[in-house]
Amino acid sequence: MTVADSYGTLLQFCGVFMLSLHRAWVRWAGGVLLAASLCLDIMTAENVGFTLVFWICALAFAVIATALLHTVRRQWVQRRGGVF
Amino acid sequence: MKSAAVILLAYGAAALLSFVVAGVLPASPVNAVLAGVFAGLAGWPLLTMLGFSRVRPGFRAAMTQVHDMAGIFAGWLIYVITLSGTLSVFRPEISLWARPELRAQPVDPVGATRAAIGWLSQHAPHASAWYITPARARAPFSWAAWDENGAFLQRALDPVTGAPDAIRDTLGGDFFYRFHFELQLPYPWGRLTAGIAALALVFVLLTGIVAHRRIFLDFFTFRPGKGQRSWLDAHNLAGVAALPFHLAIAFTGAVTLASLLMPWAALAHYPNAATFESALAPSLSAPAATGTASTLAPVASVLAEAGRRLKTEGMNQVYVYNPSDSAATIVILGDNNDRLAFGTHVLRFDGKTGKLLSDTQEKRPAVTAFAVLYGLHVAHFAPLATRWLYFASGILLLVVTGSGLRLWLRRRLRRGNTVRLVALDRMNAGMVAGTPVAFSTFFLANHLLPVTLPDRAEREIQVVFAVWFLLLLVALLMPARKSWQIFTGLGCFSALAVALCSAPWGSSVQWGVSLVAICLAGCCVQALWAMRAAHDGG
Repeated sequence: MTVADSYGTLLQFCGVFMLSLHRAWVRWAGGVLLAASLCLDIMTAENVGFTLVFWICALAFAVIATALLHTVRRQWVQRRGGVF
Repeated sequence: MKSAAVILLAYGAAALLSFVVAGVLPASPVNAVLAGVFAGLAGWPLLTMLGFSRVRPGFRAAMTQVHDMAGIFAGWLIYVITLSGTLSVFRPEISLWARPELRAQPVDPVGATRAAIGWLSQHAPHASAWYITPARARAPFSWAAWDENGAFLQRALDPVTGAPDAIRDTLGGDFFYRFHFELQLPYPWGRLTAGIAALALVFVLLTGIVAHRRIFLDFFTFRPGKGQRSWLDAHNLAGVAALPFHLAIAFTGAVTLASLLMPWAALAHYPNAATFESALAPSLSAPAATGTASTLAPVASVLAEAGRRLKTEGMNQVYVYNPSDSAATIVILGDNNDRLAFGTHVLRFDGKTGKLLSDTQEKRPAVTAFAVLYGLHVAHFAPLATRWLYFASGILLLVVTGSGLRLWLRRRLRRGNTVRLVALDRMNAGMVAGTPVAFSTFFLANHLLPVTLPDRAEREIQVVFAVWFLLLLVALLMPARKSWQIFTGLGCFSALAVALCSAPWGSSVQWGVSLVAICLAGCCVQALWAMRAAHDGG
């Protein structure tokens, strides 16, 4: 993985995480980030086909990582006696 | 009975659809037939959904019912096929791990192929064909397969001498690769079963999308420690997050076995499937032997010419048809490390003279689409990071299948125990927890059986099936809860034993196997704690 690939993957995760939040504008921004990560990956790719396969597979793990982050956040709030 | 009729009727309609599409499409026969095959393969699950929506009330309710039904009928099969397929992603690495006498190193594929052909010329001159996978850095040995007196033989050959003697007799990663689509059953039954399982997975995934009411609302939801709710969350999250991968891998899996699943489209233009296959890949077809003995031309010049024409692609496969006959033909397939499509550059040489007969770059659109779908499934193109993502996505499919089976059984067991349900629950523990343990014994048998044991490769497989049978037997005789605990404990021990066998201070392959095995052992310990906590909590 090159630095550009890592940057694209980070953008992809940020995009997915923002899509999972409640505010509409944050979700829109998340969608834009997701599109930007795809564009960045394609622009820096030696082979667009390979990059698309990688991007789609990585998306699954961005979703799961986001779900786990929300789980940890929910448990932390509950442990502190707050209402989630 | 009604369900079986719906599935068979849908297959009939899909077969007719594939035949009609192939017949009426204004394209060349090969392109039209492949378009018909794609239509038939996509049509069968969709028409089955339509059929069930007609015979059961309410579309969503009908899809929920058939999602459950198809899941429990095909679930175990999908689970074992997925597990072996997930391991097959690292087939060369497992093959290398299974042969510790070899080391990952740069090799000369041309020299290794020349050595392999030299050894085969002396030891299997009367085989009808030799199939050679040249040595490469990921798997620094040539893999040769040939037929002898009706038996199909496979051996790893030394990249320098071409002889198999210094390398232990094992199938390595090829055991999991072959099991993935042949299920250790005779042709064509294993492949047919695997193909049907692939389309069953497409059907289960599609019905799952319809059945899941809150697919977007629950997209990022996982609530641990809430019993059945947590299992459902895990099932939905893993299923929805990796849905594109799961759908693609299931459909492309069916495509790789399309000639068995949907042979009807070919009949629109060809008298039989064999004629179609010759038209599909004419440069790969084997000529009939003449019966006149002959010797092969020196392969060095053939391989040098192939090297010039394949440039950076390198060689993926070398086939030598009729090696001792005057109709000897050498076919060389280019690798696909620069494209998704698999096997689209083929060179064909006259084996007797060494003269180039054809240099074919596949351009036909439907054939290229087929090659891309095939390439996506086998992931031969994939760089290391993508291979790990394929591996992890395969594990997600195991989570989806395993949790789905558990949910189905728990829901019904809560309504009351019947002998059939209890037996299913016990068998489920044997399949879901026992299969990984049985597969791990392949790794242990590979390192623990004496290297000089006769028929060693067969003995390794016998060990796997003996352990698998024993575990299933134990599962049937014990309460499911107890079996889960025992098998999870066994899984932990066998994973740690594999890690110990791997010598993590060795090569990157040994290190990788150790890491995966230790992660698996950690997951087993976590699962044991969770089971204990659930038991203590009542």
